[in-house]
Amino acid sequence: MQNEEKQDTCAMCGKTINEQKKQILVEKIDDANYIFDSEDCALIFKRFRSLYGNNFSV
Amino acid sequence: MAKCIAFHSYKGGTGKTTLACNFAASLVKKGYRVFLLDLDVSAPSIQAYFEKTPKRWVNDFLINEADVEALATDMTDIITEHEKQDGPASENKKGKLWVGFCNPKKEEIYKIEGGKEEISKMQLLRKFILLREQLISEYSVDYIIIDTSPGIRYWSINALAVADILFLTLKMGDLDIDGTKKMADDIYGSLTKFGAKSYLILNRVAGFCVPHTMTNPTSGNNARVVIEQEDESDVSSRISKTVGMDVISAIPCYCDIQFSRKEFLTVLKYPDHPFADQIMRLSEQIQVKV
Repeated sequence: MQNEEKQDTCAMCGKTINEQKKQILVEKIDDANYIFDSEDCALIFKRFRSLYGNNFSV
Repeated sequence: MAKCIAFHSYKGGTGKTTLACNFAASLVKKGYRVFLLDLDVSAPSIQAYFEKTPKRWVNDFLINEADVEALATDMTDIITEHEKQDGPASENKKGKLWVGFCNPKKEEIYKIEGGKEEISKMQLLRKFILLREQLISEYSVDYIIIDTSPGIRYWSINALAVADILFLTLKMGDLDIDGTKKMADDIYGSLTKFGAKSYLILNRVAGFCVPHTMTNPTSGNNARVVIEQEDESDVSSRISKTVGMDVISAIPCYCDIQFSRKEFLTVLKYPDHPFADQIMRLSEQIQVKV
C-alpha cells in the first residue's frame, strides 16, 4: 500500500486519518513511505512485514 | 498504558488455556482491569472455565455482526464471589474482568478462518486490530490476555503480532522442546525485533507428583529404581539455553489440576494451592518486566 494510492488511511488499521484529526506518522519501510495513525499501528505493521515479508500489505 | 500478553505454544495440550485464565484472574485479584480474549479459534475452550454463554462471540465482531459491547462478557462477579468467601480483598483497587469467548461451532470457525469469500483475511485482521484498540480506549483495560491457537497459524500469528509480551508455554518432552526452538527461531525474532518481549513458561515440570522411586517392571515388584529428576533451576537453565529464550516460570505438574474432569480457576477456588502461588508470582514478575 503506497502513500500515493491511499494517503489518508492508516496502512495497518485502514482508518481514515484526516477525519480523526490525528497526527500522521510517516514511516519509510523498504524504500516506500507508509502512513499510520498511531505508533502502535506502525509497530504492528513492521512486525507483520518482518513475519510475512515485503509482500505483506493490508 | 495497556499491555497485551499472548499465551502461545508449539503443540496443543501444554496448559496454555489454564495458564491464561488463571493468570487473568490473578491480575483481577490484584485490582487490574483485564480483558481475556479467546483466540484459539479452531479449538476454543475458555468457556469451560467460566460456564457462561455470551450474548455474542468474538467471531461475530470479526465478521461485522456484533459490536464490542456485545462480545465483552463481564465476569467480574466470579472473582468477587470468591473474594467474599476468602475474606476482604487485600488490594484497594477494584479489578474488572471481561471475557471475549470464541464460538466453537464449525461453521463459525470456518467463517473467521477466511472461508467465507466476502470477508477477506485482511478485513478480518483489520477488525482484530480495531478490537484491540477499542478494548484499550473504551474499556480502559490494564491488560489484554490472549489465548492463542498452538503452532504457526493465521490467528496465532495475528495474536502474537499485536502482543507486547509473549508467553511461550511448553512441556518437558524433547518433541515439544525441539518444536518450540524451531518456532522461536522462525517467528519470535521478527516480533522481539520490534519491541515485543518473549519468555518461556515451563509447565507440568516433573517433580511434584512423580515419586522419587517406582517399581521396576523388569526386576519384579520389590525392586525399585530411582527416577532421574533435575533441580528446577537446572531445568530452566537447560531449556533456556536450548531454546534461546529466558524462562520466566517453571510450574510443576499437579495431577489434581491436570486430571480433573472439570476445568476450574485454581487461583479462585484454591488460592492456597501451590499452582495458585506460581501464577500469583508470575503476575508479580510481569509488573516488573513491563
